[in-house]
Amino acid sequence: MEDLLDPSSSAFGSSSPLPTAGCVNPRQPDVVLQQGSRQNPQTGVAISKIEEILAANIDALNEAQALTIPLRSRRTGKVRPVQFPSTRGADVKKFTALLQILHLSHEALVAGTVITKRSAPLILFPEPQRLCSVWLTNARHRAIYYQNPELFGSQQYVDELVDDIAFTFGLGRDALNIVAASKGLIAGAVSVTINNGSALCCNPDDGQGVLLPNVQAISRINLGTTKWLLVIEKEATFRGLVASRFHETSTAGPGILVTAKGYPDLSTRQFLHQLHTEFPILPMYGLVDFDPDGVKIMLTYKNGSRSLQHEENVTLNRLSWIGPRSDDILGDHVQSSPSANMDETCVFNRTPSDQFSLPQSSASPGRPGDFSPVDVTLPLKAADRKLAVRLLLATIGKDSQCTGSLDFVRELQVMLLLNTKAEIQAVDEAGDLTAWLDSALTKNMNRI
Amino acid sequence: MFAFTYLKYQSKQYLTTHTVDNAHITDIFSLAATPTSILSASGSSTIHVHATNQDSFPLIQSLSGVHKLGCHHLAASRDGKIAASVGFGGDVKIWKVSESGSGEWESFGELDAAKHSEKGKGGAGELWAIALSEDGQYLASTTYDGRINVWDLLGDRGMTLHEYETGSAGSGSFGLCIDLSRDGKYTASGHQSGAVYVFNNSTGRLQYSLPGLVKPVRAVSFSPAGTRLAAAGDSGIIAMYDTKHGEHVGNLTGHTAWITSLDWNDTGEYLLSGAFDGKAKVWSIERSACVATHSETDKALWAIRWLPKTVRNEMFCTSGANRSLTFYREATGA
Repeated sequence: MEDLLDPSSSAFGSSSPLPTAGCVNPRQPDVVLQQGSRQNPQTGVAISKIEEILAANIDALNEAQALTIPLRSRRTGKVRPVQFPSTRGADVKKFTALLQILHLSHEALVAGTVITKRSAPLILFPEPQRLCSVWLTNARHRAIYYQNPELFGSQQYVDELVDDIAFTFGLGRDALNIVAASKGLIAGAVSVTINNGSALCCNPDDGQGVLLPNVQAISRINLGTTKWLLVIEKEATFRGLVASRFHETSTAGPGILVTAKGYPDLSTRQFLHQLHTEFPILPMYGLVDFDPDGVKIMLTYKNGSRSLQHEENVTLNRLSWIGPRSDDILGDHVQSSPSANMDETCVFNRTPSDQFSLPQSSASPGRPGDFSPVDVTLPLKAADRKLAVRLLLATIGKDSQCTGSLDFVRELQVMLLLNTKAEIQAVDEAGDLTAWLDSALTKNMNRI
Repeated sequence: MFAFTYLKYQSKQYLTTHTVDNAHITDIFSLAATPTSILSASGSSTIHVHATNQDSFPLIQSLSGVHKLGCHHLAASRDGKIAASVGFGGDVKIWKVSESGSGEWESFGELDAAKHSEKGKGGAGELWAIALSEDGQYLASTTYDGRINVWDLLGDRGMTLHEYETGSAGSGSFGLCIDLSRDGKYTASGHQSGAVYVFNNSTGRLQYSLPGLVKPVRAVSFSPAGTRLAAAGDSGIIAMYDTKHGEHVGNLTGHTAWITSLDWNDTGEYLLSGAFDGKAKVWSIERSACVATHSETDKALWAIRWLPKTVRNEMFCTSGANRSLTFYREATGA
């Protein structure tokens, strides 16, 4: 499954999703029956349109013809086929990206399971199908990008292609089970009393998290027995953790999960600030990508943003960075296998000591080097480096002794030195972040 | 047979002779050795100089506040008279030993590469890794976008002597490391892409593009005689090249983490390597084998350097994320 979900941008990789379409096909009527009338009437149209394209490409493969995905330009309204192979490098990438989006969309439409990056399928809700598909659609948009960030390059590229596909099909984006997400979610055993007297339970059974209420409307917050609060950069990560009920099952005790989906909006920060002020003993942690943007998001939560400096009551002095940091990402995973990249005939040393010290650790049963950091890290782009230097300047400039921000400075410097970044998922185990997070939370809470 | 191999590959012994704990308040990113001292640079703004000709390795000079955002690369000429440092803000400073006879380092100006746009070529770009020639007259540097430049520090610092492109203009792969051969004839650079290039400084041309490493190359080092080039990085392998013909002549394998730093000893008999997992290894070139492994720390080593050989036994220094300078000395009678 992993292979099918992760086609590389290479010529060979791009054809891998096709067999999936082939084997899903026969099951399709069952699925449609199961989902019955609750399904969006357009779902069937979307599925058949996608399968039409995939089937045409399987035929093309059999006849050794070029593979084609027709795409209608949103500007001109004309259809321009995206071909593979193609002499235009951009077309090859586009074809691969389109195929992956179609595949993911098809899977979401047909099966109702969710895939976050390199991950195990998340649970299917026992609740009505409608809820399930709402949840799916929310998670989907970010998740597509994280399936293969190196291929897609940017969230924007995904957005463009998704809109192109929807336009080509003559359907709404939601008919593909793909929509953009909204801001500020919370999950946890917290109850918030709103001014009008109604209580907002932040731990609904549907496992989705609830939108944060406006801070002005809150009259009382009851934390119950919660022991910690975790602010998460990415919505997809938040949803994965909520779906596995991490806020209830963590070995660090019950807690609260919050995400503002990337750079935090003002109302999320105001809400957190209120918690921060009212409950000074509640430890707060930030889970962000190991990249300059992740650090900037942490600093925005902690110190406020430059553009909104006139705002008050938005900072979180006690927020601490749980990671992942360079050691989390590179420390355990650095298992480069000496034999992976070299020409065996060139090996002239075979000392006994070194033969004995070859990595026994190779966690992966597959080909050696599977878990080497190359798979989870990316090189910094020029813009990343510029941002890192700007953040260093801002952090060091503000506080020449760097007290309290030493770890931000250190990690930014290491990013620059290694020219390396990684996402939160770099520390998960086959899509499951909970083990790492359990130990990180426990370690951090014992430190205080 | 086991006994036979054991004898054949007997190890060399190095003992920790001294540790300067918390020599810096943050990670030590770079080291440069002179005949009598070792310079260290870190994530803080200060460069420290410790004497290596006294048993207690005392701190003899601190250059304070020289790189506001921290310093990632440091180089010293072999004669110990010229040094250069590069900060995270892109600032490049040149240092020289005072002519007053105090032995102290003093400022010898800067190299403001980012400002100069020479001959319509768009300038040398912000410097990253640097290396100095034996007498300190020439400085070689890399940039983020893969440009390699050689500068004459005694001449016009506003322009480069040589300018080598490693990709189409401005789109080369990040030059993570660089070295100059001792005779000044060659410049070698290692890149994010895994590429290793050797340039001929007399012809001003690319001499070799060396194959072998696929992952980022974080250290390149010429042997003292200039006949070999060692290159290593994320693949965990040290690749050895013959500089005369540009051939890949072998690999040294044994590290199980990213290799961050390489250095040849004075005679060219031994190669020292440091890795992200805190392990330092000494390799015998003759035997093509690792003869000593040291791991005082499990934190990343960012820099390792031999101290130029004096009358005493050969020594080397390691440093990195544990913020300390650890000195090792070859054990006698092994």
